[in-house]
Amino acid sequence: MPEDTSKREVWIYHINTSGCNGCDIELLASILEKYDSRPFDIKVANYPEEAEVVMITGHINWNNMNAVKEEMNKTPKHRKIMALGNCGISGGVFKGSYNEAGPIDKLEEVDMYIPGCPVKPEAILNALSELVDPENSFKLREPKLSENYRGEHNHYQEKCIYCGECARSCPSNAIKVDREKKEWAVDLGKCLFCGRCEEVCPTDAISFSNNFDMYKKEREALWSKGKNNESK
Amino acid sequence: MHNLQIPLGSYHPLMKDPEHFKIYLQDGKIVDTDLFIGYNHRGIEKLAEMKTYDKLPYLIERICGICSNAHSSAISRAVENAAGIEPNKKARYIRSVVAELERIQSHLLWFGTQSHSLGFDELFKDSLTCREHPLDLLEKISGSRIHYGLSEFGGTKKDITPEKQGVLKKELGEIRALTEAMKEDFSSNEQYTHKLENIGVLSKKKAGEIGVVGPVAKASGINLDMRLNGVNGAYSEIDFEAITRKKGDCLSRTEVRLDDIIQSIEIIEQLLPIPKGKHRGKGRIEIDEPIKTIGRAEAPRGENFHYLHAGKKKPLRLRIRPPTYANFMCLHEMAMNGKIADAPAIVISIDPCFNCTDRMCVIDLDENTEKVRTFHEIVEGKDKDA
Repeated sequence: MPEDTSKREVWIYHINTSGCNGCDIELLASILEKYDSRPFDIKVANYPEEAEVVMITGHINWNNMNAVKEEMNKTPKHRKIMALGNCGISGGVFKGSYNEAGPIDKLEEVDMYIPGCPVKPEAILNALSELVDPENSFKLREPKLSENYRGEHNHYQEKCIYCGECARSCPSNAIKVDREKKEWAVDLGKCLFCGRCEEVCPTDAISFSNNFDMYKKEREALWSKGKNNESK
Repeated sequence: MHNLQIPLGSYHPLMKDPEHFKIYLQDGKIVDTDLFIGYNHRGIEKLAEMKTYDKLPYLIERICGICSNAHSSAISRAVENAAGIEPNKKARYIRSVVAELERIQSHLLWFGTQSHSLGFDELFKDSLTCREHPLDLLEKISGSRIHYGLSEFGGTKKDITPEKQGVLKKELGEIRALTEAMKEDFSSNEQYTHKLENIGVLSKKKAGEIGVVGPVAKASGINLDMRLNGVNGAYSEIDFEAITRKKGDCLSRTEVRLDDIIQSIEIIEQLLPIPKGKHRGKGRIEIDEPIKTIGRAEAPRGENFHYLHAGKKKPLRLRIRPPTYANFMCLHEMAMNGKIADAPAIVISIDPCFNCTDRMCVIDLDENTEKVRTFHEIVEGKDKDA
């Protein structure tokens, strides 16, 4: 079989900066045939000079900070940066550690943030397609998700009593509740999708939807007020 | 004196696994090795002292993206020991099933990476494709492919319902068929086995002295498996023996892991059907008096040891000894007097997990005055004086 030359090649360069390896392995899984229904070919670049998209996982620590800076200086100017997973976006559960020098957006401007802990391979591919080819943005067919899958939060306003229990129980302090203004918001760039808020809620006002495509181009846009915030 | 140094594993701290091995050569023979860790240090032990017990398992789980359940079940055991509660029967079964699924996916990933680094990309693809099955099962059970968030004190959060057990049984048959085909491909591939046979030999005596754990110890003939000690899960209620080999070379380590996959499938089949009853435990917990306890679990790479000095609401001190930390010390023994070409196979054969290992260390790279040649320099022929 001759190779399909109509496919566009995307050269990615992956930098692992002290994450948990979860997102790195999901990135590895995304090159599998199971997910192979995309209009472009992913090529892994071995040198930073070849990079078209730089993918960063993990929060940066003081030990590899200089190396990241060096590496970033070697990449070409037109390259785009993607921050993968919540450690890459905000430090996630490791926020507040004495060995935290990042995240990457302190050093460089990030073009795409992909939340998730870890990110799903489908989300990486959809975000990549949105980033490199926004005109023919392409989405993978919907994966079969289990009923337990924890994606973006649902928040039912009429049930919520704004007690703040979810915000207090959150392991990564991702939820903000304003009792007076009756506002509830979650930072998807910090959330671990662990399900603790759903569990502690006394009125079942929080649940998890199937939405895993939460990628955004701006950091501020990652604040979510919950998906079905009207009513169920 | 050595006449050439080669940095191996990561010639740059940012590539794949950010860790640094240095190998000293003389006339093509390895005469000394050195290891530098710390590029992955996140300060988790200190962070743990700031988290209350209900938030603790979520942090500890994120030590490692491959063996996350092993870490969270070890910390759960440590806190349960401190509070004096026992997990209920159903929860012990569920924990064991998840632990075995995790072992299957971890060994498959390891087999894939070994095949890739030794140049057998076809097996790398087969192995990773097969790995999607246990991951899908884990998503079905827990709701996430990697960090399951199942840990609770005295129980588990999610149940494995009878319908899910049916799916589990069916999928396990498929994983078994794929693994056995892969095993056949591996053992009939002489080029592959030749690269591993009699390489990196670790004798039983040396293995005992260094104190290696997990598949590395089992390949050297030491019958060491935390599952058999009955400290965690429902393993005491089923019948199995640790798989061991005598030779202690890279080939035996590969065989032990591949057989472990089949054994894990058999263990899950024995654990099914899961007994009926309550599976939930407590999320919030308080401990009356400060107490020192331990929690142990058999991770895919070996024994996972958590020491906890428990305070009333938060840990006063937590020390984690992951399996790779115990296994690193044998690398020197394995690599000595070998060839440089065998070094990658030796490093991979202990299944190093750097995310687990970087607990505590201080490295001053500025004072490291030794000259290290990078991969780029070697490729471009700049090491003429060597």
